[in-house]
Amino acid sequence: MTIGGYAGKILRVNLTDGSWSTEKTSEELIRRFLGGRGFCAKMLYDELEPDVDPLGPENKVVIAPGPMTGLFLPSSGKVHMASKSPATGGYGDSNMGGHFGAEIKYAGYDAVVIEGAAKRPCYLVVEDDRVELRDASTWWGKGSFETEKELKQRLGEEFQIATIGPAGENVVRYACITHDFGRQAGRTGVGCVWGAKKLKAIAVRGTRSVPLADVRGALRKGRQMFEACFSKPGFKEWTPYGTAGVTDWINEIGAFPTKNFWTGYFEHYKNINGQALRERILVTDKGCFACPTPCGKYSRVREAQRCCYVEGPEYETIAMVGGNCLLDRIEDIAYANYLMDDLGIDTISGGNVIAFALECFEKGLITEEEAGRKLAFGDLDSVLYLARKIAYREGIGRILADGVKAAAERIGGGSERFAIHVKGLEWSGYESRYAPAMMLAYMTADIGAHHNRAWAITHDVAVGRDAIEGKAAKVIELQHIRPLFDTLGLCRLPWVEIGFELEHYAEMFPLVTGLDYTWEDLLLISERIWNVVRCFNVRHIPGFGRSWDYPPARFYEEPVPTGPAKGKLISRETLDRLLDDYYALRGWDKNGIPTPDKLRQLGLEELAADLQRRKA
Amino acid sequence: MQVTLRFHGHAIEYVPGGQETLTVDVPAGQTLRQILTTIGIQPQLFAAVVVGGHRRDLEYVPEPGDEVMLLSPAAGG
Ligand code: SF4
Repeated sequence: MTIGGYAGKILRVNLTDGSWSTEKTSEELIRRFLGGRGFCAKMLYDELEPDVDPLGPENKVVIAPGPMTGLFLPSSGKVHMASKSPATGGYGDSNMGGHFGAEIKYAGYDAVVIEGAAKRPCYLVVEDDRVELRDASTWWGKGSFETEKELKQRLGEEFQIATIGPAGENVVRYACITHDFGRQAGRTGVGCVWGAKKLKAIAVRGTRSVPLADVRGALRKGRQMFEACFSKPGFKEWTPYGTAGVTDWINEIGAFPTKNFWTGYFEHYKNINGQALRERILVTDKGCFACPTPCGKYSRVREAQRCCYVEGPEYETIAMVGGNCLLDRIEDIAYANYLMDDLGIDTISGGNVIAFALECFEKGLITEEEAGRKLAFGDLDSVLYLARKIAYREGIGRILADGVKAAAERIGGGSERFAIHVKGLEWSGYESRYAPAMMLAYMTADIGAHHNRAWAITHDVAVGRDAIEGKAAKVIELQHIRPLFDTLGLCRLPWVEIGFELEHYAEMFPLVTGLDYTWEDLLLISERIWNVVRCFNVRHIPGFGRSWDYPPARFYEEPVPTGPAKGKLISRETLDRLLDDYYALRGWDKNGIPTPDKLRQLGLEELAADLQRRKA
Repeated sequence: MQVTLRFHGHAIEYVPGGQETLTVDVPAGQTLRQILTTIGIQPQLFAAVVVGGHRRDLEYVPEPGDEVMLLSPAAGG
């Protein structure tokens, strides 16, 4: 049987010797792991030995759209990129919008796997069956924007391009990949792995179609889904502000990361919110492939020495570069956003690390001599200066480029208390001392402290922010629903933003694939993938277990000093209770390791046997 | 007087019965915050209020027959 929604092939490119090959997309892989994030997790689990150095040639990058990527249905432009993470040493991945994923499908591939490492800078060109590695010396050292623009000029507008900036080249452990002049695969340092492999860019163009199980049915359903999106009354209200629109609410509930997560409220937030963006710098809305609800905001800053166009800032950048570094003008945040995108630094980790450095300076743990100048919160020049130092690994940037966890280990002086991360991945834009479900979501997110696996903060507000009961169950429910979108190759924001019903996707799935999977079946696959990633971390990180799931001491020792969450903190006992509940519900042991029974129940016999072997 | 509340986004699951629309009888002069609290919905759950195409907040006092749109906070990647 041909399963619809798949291009049918996986492309493998070896950068060491320049060879490439294709293989049939395995039906078993499809049936058990669907695509996108599922392919990434299982392929990396199977193909990477535990001692693989994230920056070595044995590490691989899997780039996988999902079965619904590139199809006629809302927001179907997502692609997943994964590797062993240089930020955490465990499984790392990031999801990206734009048009890149759809183009990979049209070129005929369900995944592209990058292996080996080149001796000289190169870029990969894929045009249907034509696969070519070319010399990228011309662009090595150049920013993401210039590289993308010049590659478009050289290859043609129809090519979709993803590239790294100088940060990736200089193996900054949280370097990102940029595409479409502002869409990023930002987290866990996938861009760093590209840089270590001397891969500057990938350019893809495809002219093929993707077979579907029921073409007419899928078209009819796709049209209905677009109409349903457009008719949602929240539709018109969401689009003007995009994710920046949530800035007010996050401040009002006291969860806005401010001054390196010192507090959860920034008094100048109205100067950096969605309205400020819209009134002062917005040029136009910008969306990904097939998106009816574009959250992208294309902006322009017109200030002396700081003129730029930039896609953003979206909420995470407003939070991490704005509130967290105390930048109180939307123009300043937009400019820092532009610089970090061009340098190829993830603005979440970048904002987090820079805020950490500013606090270290304030506390005298980094001296003026070490920093190379005076540094201060609220000072745009300090932020820009540190971003450049990090991207080029110069001076203090050499330490900061390894991430906040490693930097705290080097700097010492108790700085690990306010190095805000889990598992080595920098915390993103929600201060969670007064939001236990959100706190647990960060603690247990499979890649480290990232918000998008379970955005549980609404749940905290709805059912009581001091309550603990039921929080673990909610986090798990979300950890299965949300990453499922990454597996199918879709954007989840229409569901989050305007309440687009999940039933639509459940109805679409069999029309696309011909597989009679129910929504519950899909959620079970999502749980399976979650457990594969946990097992990957057990396999790759020495001593991995419960102790890797705790937040930094700031969150359980320092009460929030100001704002609506003033006086709140989450005790160590509460953290333990949350983890106990979570592990029990997941069928993991007290150390947070999946039990053999649980793995077998999920159809992961081979992983159960593998973990048993390792224990013995 | 009657006021129609229309909820949008993922926070609908916390509206009693998961309903998108609720028409409620309320005494005149109550703020939206008071109305929501009375019917058992945490007012802070909604990030924006729109009435007749205009942005309002939770201190807005609805007029008879108003249709009030309540939007879930949206971000979360
Ligand atoms: S909502 Fe935003 S991230 Fe999602 S598809 Fe649309 S533009 Fe892309």
